[in-house]
Amino acid sequence: MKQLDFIQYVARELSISEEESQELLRGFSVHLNNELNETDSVQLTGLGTLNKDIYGISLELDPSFAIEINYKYAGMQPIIVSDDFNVGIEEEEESEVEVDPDPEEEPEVDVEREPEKESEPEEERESVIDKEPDSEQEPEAVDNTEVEVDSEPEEETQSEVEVDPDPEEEPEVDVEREPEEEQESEPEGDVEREPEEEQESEPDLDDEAKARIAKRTASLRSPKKTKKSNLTPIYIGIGVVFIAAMIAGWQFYLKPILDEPAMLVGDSSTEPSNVTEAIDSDSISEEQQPSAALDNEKNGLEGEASGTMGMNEESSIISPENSASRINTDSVVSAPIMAKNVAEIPADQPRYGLMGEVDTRANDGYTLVLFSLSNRQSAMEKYELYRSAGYRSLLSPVNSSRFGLMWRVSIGQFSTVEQALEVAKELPKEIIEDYFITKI
Amino acid sequence: MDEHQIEKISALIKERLLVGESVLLEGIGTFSRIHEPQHFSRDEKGRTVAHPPKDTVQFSPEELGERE
Repeated sequence: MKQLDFIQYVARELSISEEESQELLRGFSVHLNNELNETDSVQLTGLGTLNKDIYGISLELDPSFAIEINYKYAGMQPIIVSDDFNVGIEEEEESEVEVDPDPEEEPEVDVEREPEKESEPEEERESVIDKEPDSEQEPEAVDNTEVEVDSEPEEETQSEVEVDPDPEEEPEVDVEREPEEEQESEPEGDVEREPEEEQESEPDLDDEAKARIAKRTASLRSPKKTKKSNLTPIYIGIGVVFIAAMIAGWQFYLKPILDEPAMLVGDSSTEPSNVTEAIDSDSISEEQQPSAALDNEKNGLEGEASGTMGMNEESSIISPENSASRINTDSVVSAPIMAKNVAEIPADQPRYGLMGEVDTRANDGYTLVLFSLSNRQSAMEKYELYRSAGYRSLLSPVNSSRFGLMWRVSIGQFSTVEQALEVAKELPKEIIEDYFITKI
Repeated sequence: MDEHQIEKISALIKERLLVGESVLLEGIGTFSRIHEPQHFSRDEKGRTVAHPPKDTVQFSPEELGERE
């Protein structure tokens, strides 16, 4: 906006003449310059702070305004693509992941591995929250970790059952053992080895000493065996409890819902297909489930929709008031509300893709977000524009506690982020000028 | 110029920036909304991470403002 336009805008907004507006803005500029010259800093309420230093004048944005200006991207989180997907970014030095099989270096590996074990579930949780649970690389990484972790107990078991005669390996085993064992095992090895050597070299060993050694050895071995056998019932018990919980969960929670999905929304007359889809799909997050349920409230809410929006039968409009009351979490992205039922989709249409009809079964994938609009009608127009152009056009409500209800318009349903990126590269620039890939 | 007038003009600049426009103020400089598109980086595990787009506001001082 040029100076003259802004003068007119200020005049209109403040109901003053253009001359007055011009004078006001001139005074404003003089005030800013004076403040900057005197104090090197001037505060603009709600906007930020202008700071003057040797490099010139810079604006430090007000934190709340910084959030406000990014309202379009509310709810968008960084997502992990994969290790091997080339997107032309600079490679950073990779940290050492592989475990050196050399047993002499095992203590170092264990030290490195333990933090990984702790951090791995956190990463997994983050990636789930970040709406990308099916990154192909992650399961591999988890598998590797499992293998690595599994190897540890085996080593421990061996070291517990057999008294290692090699004195060099003793400290390594002791690192993993409990302190009590540590204390016991050290003298044990010494006691055992020395008499054995003596037995071979000196057959005239005192019977009393032999008996003492044998007794000591037996007493040291027996608690370990007992300890090992005690673990089995615990594992069995845990397994039984887990299986029982699974069965109970199926019987009392999932089965009744699957038998009668409408119970989720408390209205048996509504179409249950979307809810069933939401439950069946493993990758749809808990945040999305309530929104899927919201789809079934369309009957009572369509009346509130603007008359200018000519929607077809499967289209549903959710009023901001109702959806806001259901979803209280900040920036909750709901499932698309315009998806068609499976029966209405052409049989030859693939489950995922850019063009065609939106398939509810593909709502476990990713989409290219083109717009996030606070105005529902504008969002509907964009949605219709892409739908009539043949794209799988999706319209998803995003409820932000800060910005209220917004409408996210996106195109395409893709099984992976990589697939979405590949397609995005091929799209015309005017369509894909500014986009972001996110989970549906 | 009183504080109330400064607040009003600041609020009007903010409004224009929110709708995506730049605001030129003669004698001081231009407030522009800058858009950073989606970009990629590598995390500590070597995985590719896609970051969402981001908007910010940049102030470009006028030459006159800098001289003063």
